[in-house]
Amino acid sequence: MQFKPYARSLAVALSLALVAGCSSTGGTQDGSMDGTRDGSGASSTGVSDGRASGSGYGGTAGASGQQADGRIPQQRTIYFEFDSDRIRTEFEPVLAANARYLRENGNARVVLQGHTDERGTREYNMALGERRARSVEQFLSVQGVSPSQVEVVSYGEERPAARGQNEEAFAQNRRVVFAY
Amino acid sequence: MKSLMTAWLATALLLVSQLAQANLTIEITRGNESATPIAVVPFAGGEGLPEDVAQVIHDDLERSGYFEPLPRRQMMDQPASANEVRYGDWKALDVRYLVVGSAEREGDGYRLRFELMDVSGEKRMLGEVVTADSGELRGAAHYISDQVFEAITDIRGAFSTRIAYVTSQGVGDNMQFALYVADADGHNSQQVLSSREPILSPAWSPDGRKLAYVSFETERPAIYVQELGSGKRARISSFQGLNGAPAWSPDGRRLAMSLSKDGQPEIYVMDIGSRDLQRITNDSAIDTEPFWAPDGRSLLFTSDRSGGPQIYRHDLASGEQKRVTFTGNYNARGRFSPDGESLFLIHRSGNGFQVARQDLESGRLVTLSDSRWDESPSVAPNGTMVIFATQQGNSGVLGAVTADGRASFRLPSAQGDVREPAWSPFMN
Amino acid sequence: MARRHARVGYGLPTLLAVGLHVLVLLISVISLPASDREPQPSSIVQATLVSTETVTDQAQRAEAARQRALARQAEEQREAEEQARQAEEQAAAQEAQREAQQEVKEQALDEARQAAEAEAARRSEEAEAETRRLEQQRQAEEEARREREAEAQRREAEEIERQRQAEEQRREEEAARQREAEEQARREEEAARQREAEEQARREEEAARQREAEEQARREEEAARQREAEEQARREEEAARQREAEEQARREAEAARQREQAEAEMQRLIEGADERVANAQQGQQAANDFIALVRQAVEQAWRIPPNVSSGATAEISVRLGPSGELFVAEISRSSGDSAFDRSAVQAVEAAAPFAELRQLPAGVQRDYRQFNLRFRPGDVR
Repeated sequence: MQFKPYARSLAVALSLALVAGCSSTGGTQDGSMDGTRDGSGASSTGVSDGRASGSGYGGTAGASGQQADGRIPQQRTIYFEFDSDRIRTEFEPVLAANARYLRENGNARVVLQGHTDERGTREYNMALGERRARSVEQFLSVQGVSPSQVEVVSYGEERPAARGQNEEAFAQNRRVVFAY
Repeated sequence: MKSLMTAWLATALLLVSQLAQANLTIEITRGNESATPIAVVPFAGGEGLPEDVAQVIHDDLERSGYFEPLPRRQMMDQPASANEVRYGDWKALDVRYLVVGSAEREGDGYRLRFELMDVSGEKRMLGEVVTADSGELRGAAHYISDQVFEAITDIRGAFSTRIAYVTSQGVGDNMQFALYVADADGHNSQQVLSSREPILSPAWSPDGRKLAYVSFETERPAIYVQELGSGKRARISSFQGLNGAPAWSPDGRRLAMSLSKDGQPEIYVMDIGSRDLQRITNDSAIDTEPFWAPDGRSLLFTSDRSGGPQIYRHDLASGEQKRVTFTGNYNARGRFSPDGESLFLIHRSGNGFQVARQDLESGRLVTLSDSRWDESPSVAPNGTMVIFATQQGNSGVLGAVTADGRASFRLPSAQGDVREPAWSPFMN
Repeated sequence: MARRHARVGYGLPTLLAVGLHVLVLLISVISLPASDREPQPSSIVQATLVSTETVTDQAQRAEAARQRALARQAEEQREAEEQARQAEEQAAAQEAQREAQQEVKEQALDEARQAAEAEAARRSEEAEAETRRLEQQRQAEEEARREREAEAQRREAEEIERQRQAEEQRREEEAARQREAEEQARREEEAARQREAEEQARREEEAARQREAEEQARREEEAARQREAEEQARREEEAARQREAEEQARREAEAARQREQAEAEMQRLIEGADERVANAQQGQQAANDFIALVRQAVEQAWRIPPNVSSGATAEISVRLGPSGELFVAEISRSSGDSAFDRSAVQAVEAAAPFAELRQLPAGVQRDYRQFNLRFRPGDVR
């Protein structure tokens, strides 16, 4: 076996490896969001340490239990903080559960519906809703979900879950919904 | 000889003293920042007609913020023409202008006659005969309002224009949306589209015949253009991701829009005929809500490239993009005034979201509305008023305010939540 | 262009013109059908090509060609082999790449998982620390509460004490006041008794004085009668002297009057001038009042329309009639905003007539029948 041709290909392989390494950590999110979050929460036993989350909706207590393979996960909504598309720690188990379901059921399709609260202009909120849904999409892809199973749609402030001009209603509307 | 000289000197001095007196200028620095009192007398012969023409004119002029029409019960007499007017009576009520007229049926339609009087100057300013077909009585009244408004202010009246708006009912997955078009005073509303999926961002074409809007009827946002006369629709843009915020160019041939097909929302300009796309922005931020300058040479848009939404201006010839708003940390949805000298936008302050106006030359920003949840400002084609969406109690209603913020009104509606008003151009 | 003055006959030119037109017609007619036909490649030379090669040349060339072909074939084979080798190599390389990529990916995933676990551990630690901090805070708050309660109790007790003390003091003070009051009453009684005694003594003294006074009066009357008699005599003497003096005075008074008349005339001349000055001053004051009145009336009547640009200024020139009625109010300098201009004219029209013009001094009125008004609102939004 000659060494020369292999040397060339090895060099190419090494450089490609470097590039691949760079792209799988970090992320394409804006500098203001923490990109390091994407790499975390990848293990299937979940990062949740059984602590109840501060919000009252979509609580994660007991979410570390294993879901049966064929059933769509029960928790299908995650909530966000104001002006943010950061995935909150307490919802990572929900995402993990949905990710597992999608990985194990290659024919399943999900539409990530992004929503915002009603403050601000409508078209800008459309874009914010899309950002949130894309943030979830990225999380899923890092978890190994195939992109062909995931689609992103933003509804902005157009489909509120709760009405009212108070913090409670707003918090219930800032969400991404897994629509199977 | 001496007497002649003295006489000459005397006259010269006299003249000088007269001149000195003629230059006496008295400074008036205060007045009443209030609407001008006007009286619109009920039209003679108008009792049997299906519409109270004088009342329509009365309401139009009041809603413009420029006039304070006299209540009918305070009118001492009701002249029907200029030669029946006793100026002294109206001066006593401090009425400055007077509109009188008569109305009668003519065949299938109507024949109206009106005259406008300057009470303080005691002279007739304007008079005209207006004919209207059956069913167009309100339109004729709006025409008279336009003539009166323009004669007094020299500004073209916008009472014969229309508005478009979106209504919604319900919550969550059980909602009903509809797109309406109505007269500028809210009457004669007609449904243009009804859907179980959201409808957004209606925009009038410059000739007033078409509406562009965003509809989720395919369960994805897409931009449609609908011809109002025929109801014919075309789906203009349905790329992957967001298709939103359509804005017509002044020549009506292009639509600026926000598309996220290339990764994140960017501004594009589409030629409607060829569907060719020209990309305007290219960055990792959200760019949306484009709006054309009246001369068609630049575009406003909202971008959060600086960390939060602010308004930028893109020059189409040079490609240069400059930030326009610097007050506060949330400025979005900028709209030019028809003279291109100011912007109307949504500004967030400690008191919530309000409609504001920014003078382009000085950069000064002034808040026009005063509630916490105002959005979607749309300017009248004559630049005097801004219509917008606001909250009253738990429902969405439309509000209107003069361009300097001095006078404001609410326009209550019974059709659920009303939002996203769009003021039509002048209907020629 | 030079003009030709020579006369030209019309015969020849017409003939030439017609002939030209006919020619043009002919040419066009002829060329029309020609343009329809396809252009055909025409050969310039007609000849047959004959080869100049010999047979042996041909054979030689054929050999060469064959050899070249063989060489080409060999090359092609070599190239094919090379390509095959390269393809193999590429395949091997790709395989190696894939393996390497997978390895790297797995490494990355491992690293990621490790990092995640580390992060998770860190977070749980942080959370614990947070809960500890919260507990501490709660404890601290409790302690503070207890302290505050104790303080409050202490303060209550203090207050009760203070109140008791205050009551006692009040009782004591009351008793003291009562004792004082009784004492005072006693003192007043004594004083009253003393006063009575003193009064009686005074009354007795007065009676004595009165008797003395009456006696004196009798003595004085007698003296007075004597003096009167003497006086009369003196009066008669005086009257005589007075008559003489009066005559003299009359003569002097006449002379004085004449002098006075001359002086008075002088004064009147001077005073006339002063009056004119005083009048002028009064006139100026009245004029200022009139201006102030005009300003106030116009300001009250002015309805400023909305959407006025800041800095808008309009000037109206005004002419009044003799009784202050408005003759003319017209725009002498427009603000550029027609609604604004008109509102200014209206303000003057509504404020008129200015009847106060008649209150100005007659000579001044004419000066104030013509003036300008400059409308410039202070700070319009």
